[in-house]
Amino acid sequence: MSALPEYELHAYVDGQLDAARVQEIEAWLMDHPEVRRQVHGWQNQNARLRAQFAGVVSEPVPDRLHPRAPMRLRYAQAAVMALLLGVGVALGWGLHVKQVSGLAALAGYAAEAHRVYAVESRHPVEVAGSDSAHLATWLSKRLGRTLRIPLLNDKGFRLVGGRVLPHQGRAAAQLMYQDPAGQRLTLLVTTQDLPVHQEQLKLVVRYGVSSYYWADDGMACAVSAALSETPLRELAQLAYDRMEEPG
Amino acid sequence: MNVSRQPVIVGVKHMSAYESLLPAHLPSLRRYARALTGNSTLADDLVQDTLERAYVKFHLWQHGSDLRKWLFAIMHNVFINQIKKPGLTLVSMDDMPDSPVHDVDPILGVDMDRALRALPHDHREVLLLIVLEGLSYDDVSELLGIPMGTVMSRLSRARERLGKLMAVDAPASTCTQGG
Repeated sequence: MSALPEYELHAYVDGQLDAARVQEIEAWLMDHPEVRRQVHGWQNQNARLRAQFAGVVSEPVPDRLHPRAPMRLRYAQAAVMALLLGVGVALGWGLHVKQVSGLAALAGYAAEAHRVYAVESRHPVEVAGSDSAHLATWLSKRLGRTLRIPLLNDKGFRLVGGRVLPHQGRAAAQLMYQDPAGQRLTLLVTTQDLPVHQEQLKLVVRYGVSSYYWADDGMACAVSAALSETPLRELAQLAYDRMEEPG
Repeated sequence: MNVSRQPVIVGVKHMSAYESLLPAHLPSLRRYARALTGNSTLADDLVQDTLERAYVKFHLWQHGSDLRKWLFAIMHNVFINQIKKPGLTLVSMDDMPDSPVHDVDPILGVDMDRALRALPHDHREVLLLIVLEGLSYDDVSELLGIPMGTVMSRLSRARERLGKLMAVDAPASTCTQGG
C-alpha cells in the first residue's frame, strides 16, 4: 500500500471504517511516522472536543425543554381547532368569517390583492413567469430571503408571473397562476417576525375570494382564488409543501 | 418538502409518540447546540425552537427512521435561519462570555471554545456532528444536504484550522493572544 487518501485517514480517526480496514491502516501508519503524527493530532483534537462538552449530557434538562407539546403550541392548536369548528359553523350558516389575528388580516389583504389583480387581462403581473429563475431571484431580493416559487402545473395552474406589493412597510410578493379555463389563483408571500408557526392551513373568505393562509419560517403566505374550499385547500397545501425547505 | 400531504390536525396519538420518543435525544441535542453556539442560553433557545418545530412537523417523521438524524436536520435549518436573520445573529463568544463547561480544565476549555468559534459555522457543524455526535459521513451529507466531497473538505479544513488555533494557544507559545 503506497499512499492513503486523506479521507481514509479522517474516516479512520472518526471510527467510520470496518475492523479489517482499521488493521490495514494501522499497519500502514507504523511505517509512516509523519502521517501518524498528524493522525494522532486529530485524535487528540477529537478527545479534547468530546471532553469539553461531555458534561452537558449529564446536566439536568431545563424544564422548558421537556418534550411535552410546547405550551404555546397547545394553545395555538386548541385555537386552530376552535377556529376550524367556528369556520365550519359560520360557513354553514352563511355568515362572514370574522378575522381575529394579524394573520387573518394578512389573508384578507391577500384576498383584496387577488381581487384587484386577478381581473387584469393585459397586465396581471410585473414580471412574467416564463423566466421563473429571474422572477425568483428578483422576488427573493425584494423579500430579503430565498423564495422558492412553487409550480402547480400538474394541477393545471401555470405560473403567469409575479409582482411586488407593499405590505406593512415591507415588500410582499404576489405570484399569479392560471388554469386553461382562465381561472386565476394567487399566492401572496410576506415576511414578518411571527411569534408562532402556524403550519395548519386556515381559511378566510373575503370579497368573494377564499384564501388559505399559514405562517412558517418567518414567512406568512396565503393562497387565494374564487374556488371552492376543497380544491383550493389542496392547491394551498401543495404550494406550502413545495415552498418548504427540506428537513 | 415534496411529499404531498393533507393538512394535519395534530392528534393525541401523535402527541404521545412525540412525548415518549423525544426525551432520549435531548442530551445529545443540547450538547450539539452548546458546542455550536458556544453559549448555554443560546443553545437551549436553539433546542427549544428545534423541539417546537419538530413537534409541529412530527407527522412528517417516518416512524422507524433515525429520529436523531431528523432532529439534527431540523436544528440545522433553525440554526441557519437564525444566523441569516439580521438582528438575531448569534453573538460571538467575545460578546457574551459564558462559563466553561464544568469538569474540564478551564484553560483548556476556553481555548477549545474560542477555537471552535473561529471556524466558519458550516465547518463547525460538520466537525461537531461527526466528532461530538458520532454521525456517519453519509448521515451528515444527507442531513446538511451537501455532497460527500463537501463534507470531507469541510471536515479537513475544520481540523486544520482548529489544529492551528490550538497550537497558537498552547502554553508553550510565546505569542500574546490576539483574539
